[in-house]
Amino acid sequence: MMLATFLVLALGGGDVALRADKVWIDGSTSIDKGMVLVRDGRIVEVGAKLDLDEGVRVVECQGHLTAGLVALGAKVGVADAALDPTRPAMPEARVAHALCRDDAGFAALRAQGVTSVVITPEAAKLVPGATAVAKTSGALVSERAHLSVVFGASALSLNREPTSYARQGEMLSELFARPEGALLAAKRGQLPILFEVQSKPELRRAIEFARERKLTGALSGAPLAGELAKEIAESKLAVVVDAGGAGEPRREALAMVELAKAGVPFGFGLDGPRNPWQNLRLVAALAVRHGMPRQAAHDGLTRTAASIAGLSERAGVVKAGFDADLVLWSGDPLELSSAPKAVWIEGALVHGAVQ
Amino acid sequence: MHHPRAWLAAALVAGVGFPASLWAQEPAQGNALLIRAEHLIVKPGVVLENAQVSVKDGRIVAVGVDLQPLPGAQEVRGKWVSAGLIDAWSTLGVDPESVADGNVTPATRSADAVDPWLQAHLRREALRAGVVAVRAQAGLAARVGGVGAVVRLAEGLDDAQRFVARDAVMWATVGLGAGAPGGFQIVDGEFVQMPGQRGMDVFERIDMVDRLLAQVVAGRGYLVAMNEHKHELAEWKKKVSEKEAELEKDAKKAKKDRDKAESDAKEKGKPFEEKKYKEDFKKPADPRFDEDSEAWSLVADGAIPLLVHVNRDAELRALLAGLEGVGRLRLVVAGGAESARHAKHLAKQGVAVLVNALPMGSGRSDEYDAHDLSLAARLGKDGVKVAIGSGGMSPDATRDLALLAAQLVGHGLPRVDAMAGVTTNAAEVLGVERAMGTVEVGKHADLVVWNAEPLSTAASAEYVVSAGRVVLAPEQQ
Repeated sequence: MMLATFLVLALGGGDVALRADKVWIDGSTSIDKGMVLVRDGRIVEVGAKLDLDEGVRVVECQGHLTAGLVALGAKVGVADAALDPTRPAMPEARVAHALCRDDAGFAALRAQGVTSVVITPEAAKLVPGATAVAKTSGALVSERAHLSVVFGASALSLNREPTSYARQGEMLSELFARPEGALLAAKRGQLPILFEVQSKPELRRAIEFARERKLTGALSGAPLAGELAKEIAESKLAVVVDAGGAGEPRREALAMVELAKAGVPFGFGLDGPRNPWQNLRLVAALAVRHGMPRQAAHDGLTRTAASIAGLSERAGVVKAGFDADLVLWSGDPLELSSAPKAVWIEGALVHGAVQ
Repeated sequence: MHHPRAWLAAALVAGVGFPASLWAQEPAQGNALLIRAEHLIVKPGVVLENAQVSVKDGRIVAVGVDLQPLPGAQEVRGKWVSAGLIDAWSTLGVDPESVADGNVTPATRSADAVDPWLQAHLRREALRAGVVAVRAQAGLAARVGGVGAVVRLAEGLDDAQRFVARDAVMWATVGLGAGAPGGFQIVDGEFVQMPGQRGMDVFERIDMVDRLLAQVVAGRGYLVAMNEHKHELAEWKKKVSEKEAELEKDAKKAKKDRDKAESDAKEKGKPFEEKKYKEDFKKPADPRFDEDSEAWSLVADGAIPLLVHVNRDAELRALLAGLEGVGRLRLVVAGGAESARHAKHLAKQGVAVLVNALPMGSGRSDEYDAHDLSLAARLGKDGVKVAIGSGGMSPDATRDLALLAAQLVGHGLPRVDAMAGVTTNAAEVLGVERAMGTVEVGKHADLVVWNAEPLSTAASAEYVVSAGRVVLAPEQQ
């Protein structure tokens, strides 16, 4: 069955319609006994009842069908790369150049229902370079998706500048005062910025920095970002919430809920492989336990995360014209007792089987 | 040296020197309570619809579908009711220093370190998430962590209510990087070997197993010696009383004889010599008390289970081989990352596995290389009893025990077995299965009233009943 489905969906010759117990368009809309028509790796049509041409094969799927999950801020495929600690800023560096497509992390992510991933450089300098976006098949989607700019203490060093927060701010101001290349693109709003932050003071500095220069992008890493949800909402920046895992402090869990309440766009970030891949959904479930609406958690894993990844026109939603990046879950995707039974990337079955 | 069977025979004859119910601490008197449930999980796999639980004086006194409240009973109702969850592998309850203590001994009682005022907010969060009790354990990474306790998490309990079992289990570890021997330091004027935080080669690990087995054997020897002494003492007492009776019986004649001998001596002008009574049997000497051996004798006797944190194949094999057929000893494998290949053997020997349900990333220590969340499912398939713990890595994780159990369902474990892993089987590996883990008459009333099915994402506790008392209610949340 698995092989047959794989052939059917991978060869792309004929159209294939997947019919599932429930099809989640996004976090707020679902269709019971919905159908998704796939052609050449893309979604052609979605609905309760589709007018199918003869010869279209219908694959019956038991479970819930959703868009593939999007993990933000993973280190997959770049083991030990991008660690140069000597230079304070490398705006033209691209983590994509270090990418190993055979990395076992990709398969592990697929097994968790993740189909797209934002790969970030190590935040060990002021400007560590550009992020990459890849499908978890290993295929690169963008080799310059964001410019990573670090406001956290991880950019400081004892043996090179900056050694202090004060100098960090000064150096970043200098860099953005005479921008070139990637920095210029970022300043003009052509390249979104991923602001790496940890503490609330760092967060405030980053928000202020972005506001003064009208920069766009997302704040990544601050577990308590939600406690500044109002300021963040005003800044129009998005947030990448760290998926800390089991035992995440209650205060951080409640902060995630505040983000949803304030309408701040957020997705879940996963500092894997150090942080286990399972934590992506575990933390979404934890947020729900602490009062986040299921819809917001679902979108944080799919739609909003895709938009932060720069994939808002092709992934994160089960919608005509989008990539057929789909996951068949054994049950509700926000229940941890549910597991991905089958995962497709651009129409090709890359994990599991339809049963 | 005793014959291997001798200790068992001696123990059997002696009727075992330890109380059968070490855990049996009576919860204090409490008010009557009636809990009405839309769905009552009596035990994993047994659900009663629209059922009630009647509680009195800390115990469950009735479970059924047509129960009336006892006079004056408080009434509580909710959608789902189950036994309170138990985290058999937690760091809540004792202070972090005790948890990390590497210089504990087999006789160290974790109960002595239990601090009811510690980590109050984490306890409350755990209660809200339906976890009512944990194993409090000092020396989690030590070679022998000593005797762990099972404690309730609720605040405001007295000591009798707080401890489900003071002496619940013996905890030992084999091959943990965190417990690896390191350099020596002078502590209080003595050379003490500090933990080394390093990987260990296989020979070192097997050596650890051998040392552990030697302690079990010594504990067994101690048990035999104690039992033999008890018998010898009883025999001596019997002989003494027999002799006393005999002397009593002959007392008149003896007095007459003595009087005669005395007067004879007087007549003859000789000094009278009292005939001295000579005892021809000696009182057996008291055996030497040794607190560590005493603790190990509890293990050898099966009075408390032996939990061994062991992950890799080599030491697991050595441990299972070394303990095979050791009478009453109740072995529980904790962790067991590579234990699936021994599943059939474990099932046959009745050895349960306490799995670490915490997902782990690439920074994990050596012994957890093979850690995989599908372990519970693989073991369960072969009939191994599986308990689920939050892994003892952070006190916060105990709160998420139900989510971690649900995640194991996502990795192939049947839902019923996941529920058993945090209730019945958790109670069993801690040796408190007669006290808690199910909603049955006679058990202590440690119950949770849930807003949703316990393993679902949305589930949280509306009411928690601990030792028969409502310790968490909606207005307290």
